[in-house]
Amino acid sequence: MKKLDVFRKLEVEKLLYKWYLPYFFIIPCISWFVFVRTVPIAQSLFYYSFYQWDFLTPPKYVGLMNFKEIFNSELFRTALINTCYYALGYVGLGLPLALILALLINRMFKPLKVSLQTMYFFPTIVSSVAIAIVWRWIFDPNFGLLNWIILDILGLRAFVPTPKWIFDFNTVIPSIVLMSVWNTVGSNMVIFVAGLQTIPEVYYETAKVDGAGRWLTFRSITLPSIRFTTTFIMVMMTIGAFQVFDQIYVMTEGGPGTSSYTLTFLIYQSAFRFLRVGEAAAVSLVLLSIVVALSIIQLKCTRQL
Amino acid sequence: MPKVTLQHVSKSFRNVKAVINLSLDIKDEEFVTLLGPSGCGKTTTLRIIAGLESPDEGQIYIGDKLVNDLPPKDRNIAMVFQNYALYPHMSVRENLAFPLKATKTIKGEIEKRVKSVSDLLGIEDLLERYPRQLSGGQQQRVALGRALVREPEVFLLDEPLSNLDAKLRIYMRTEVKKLQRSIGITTIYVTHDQVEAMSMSDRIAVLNEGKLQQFDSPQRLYFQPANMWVGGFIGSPPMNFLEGTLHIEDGGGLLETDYFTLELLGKNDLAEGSKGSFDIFLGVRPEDIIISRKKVPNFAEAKVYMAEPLGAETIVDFEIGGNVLKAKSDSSFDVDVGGKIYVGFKEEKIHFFDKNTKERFVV
Repeated sequence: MKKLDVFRKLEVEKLLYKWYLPYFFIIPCISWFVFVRTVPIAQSLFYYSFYQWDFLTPPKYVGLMNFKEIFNSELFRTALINTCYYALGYVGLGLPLALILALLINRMFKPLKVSLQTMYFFPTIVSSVAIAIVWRWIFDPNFGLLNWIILDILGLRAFVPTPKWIFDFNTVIPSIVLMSVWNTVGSNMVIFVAGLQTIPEVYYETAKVDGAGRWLTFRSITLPSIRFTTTFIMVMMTIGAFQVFDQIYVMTEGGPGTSSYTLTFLIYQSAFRFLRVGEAAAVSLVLLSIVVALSIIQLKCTRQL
Repeated sequence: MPKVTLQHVSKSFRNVKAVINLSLDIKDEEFVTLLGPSGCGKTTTLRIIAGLESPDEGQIYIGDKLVNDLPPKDRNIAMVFQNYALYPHMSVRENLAFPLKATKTIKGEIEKRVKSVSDLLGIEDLLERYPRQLSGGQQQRVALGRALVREPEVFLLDEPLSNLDAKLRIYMRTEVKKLQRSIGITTIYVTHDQVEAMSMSDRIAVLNEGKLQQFDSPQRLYFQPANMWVGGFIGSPPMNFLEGTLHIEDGGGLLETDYFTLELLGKNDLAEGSKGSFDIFLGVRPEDIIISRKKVPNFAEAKVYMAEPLGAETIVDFEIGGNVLKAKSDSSFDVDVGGKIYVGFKEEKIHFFDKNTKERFVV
């Protein structure tokens, strides 16, 4: 009787060390990932983009019709241009700003450095919808904080026309860029600081003894040393920029007119407003191609450096 | 090439005194080594001379110019760091050219100087490679080259050989010294390796806990250590010490320890000219101890504790009254652990140190 118990125990133990056991543990996570994310994404990209569907009637195969439709559409072109404009502004302003802040903060006395880092990081942990709502008020031409500072505190009311920020065709994208940069500059700065900290101090001392000035040191030592960090941030920012949605949805709904229509907002509108799932899927495929292509280009460029 | 002078230089980091009242007078074209255990202040001293640290007190002169307030680039020095600090993203050529670019040298001149320094160091074939593609010895040469390319007046080296393997280190030792001789550049070299210091330097400054212990030629450091610490630090295996009393009379004396008594026959110049009894430490190097199996007058009795055969010679550890001392004997000596031997000290090679001050005992 006793012997049998021992055998049973051994069998359980054997099972515990089987190669397939770990896979059991990740089944819930993997199945969630596959059925809730991968399958719908693949479906929409490679299935619905070739079909006409309105969620109600059965999908109808239309071949490349959806693509033809969107490439001929004025709204798609506007959305593409707006998205690129936003991405350019967001990366172009956000990346150097994060680096400059990181450089300023990096050499500071530690307690000050940590508290500044925390402060700058703070917007990152706040929900983007909440931020968008607050900034809608900040940008308000009549009651907003920004105009109050510019017009009343600085006293420029007499000299400049009242800026309309997100309510003006020309300034709506730059305004959203400004807000997004404010939102993410802290987290990017923290990554830059981490990158800067890996540069051995002795490189700077050597440069100092060699007589290199600040600019040459920055250009020849700091920048090349953090190029992988820079690429990482650049790729992540670009991907983030092409996915801009929350801000648009909450603050402008693509307006005024179509001046802040972006690709993601177009996808949302096509699919859930106008029930043209096929066209939305086609735009998604275009968006994905752009993001993948840009990421590859950016990565390739850094490798060659 | 200028001389380098340090006058009463002190430096503290928070509560730690790294360098205390250090004065050094380094001559033109001299090769001086700062030697000491880790944390003795040697690297800090070098960094003060380089201008990477500023002293709390004291003056630093390069040539006749006070350089305390000059930034490193205006001191006309070059420094080689322990891990070479070659820029990983630049080729050897770019690394060599960097100091010249930094000082806005014209392009033609840069090319000329890079070529001449790479010829000098035998690294012409490596110019297009990156540091990660070089061996330790090659990286070392490039680091030396980058330091020399500016044609500095003072050359500062911070443990430049310690990252190399033992064989290469011995080779580079000669190379560095030869290079220094051929250029005739004033050189300050930091190391914790006494063999490196002894074999390369014109003079060695021995430092311990921030204080200068002795600044002398390798020969004098070895044969006339200024205090017990230097005596014990220089030499391998280190000097043996025994406590005792020295009785001096005209032309001779008597050394008395708890375990034996030695008659001094006046060969040691310290024992001349005065009289009295002094509490001292006896210091004697392993090679200045004579071992005998037979009883010899004026030899002390001892017990063999252990033997360390090294090939060319054997180090015999023996015990006198609970103290284990080391002696060098030739390899033919047949060691019988636990056996009785008789040891004598070469009188002219014996050192005496004051028991209280631990300084070299001068009558």
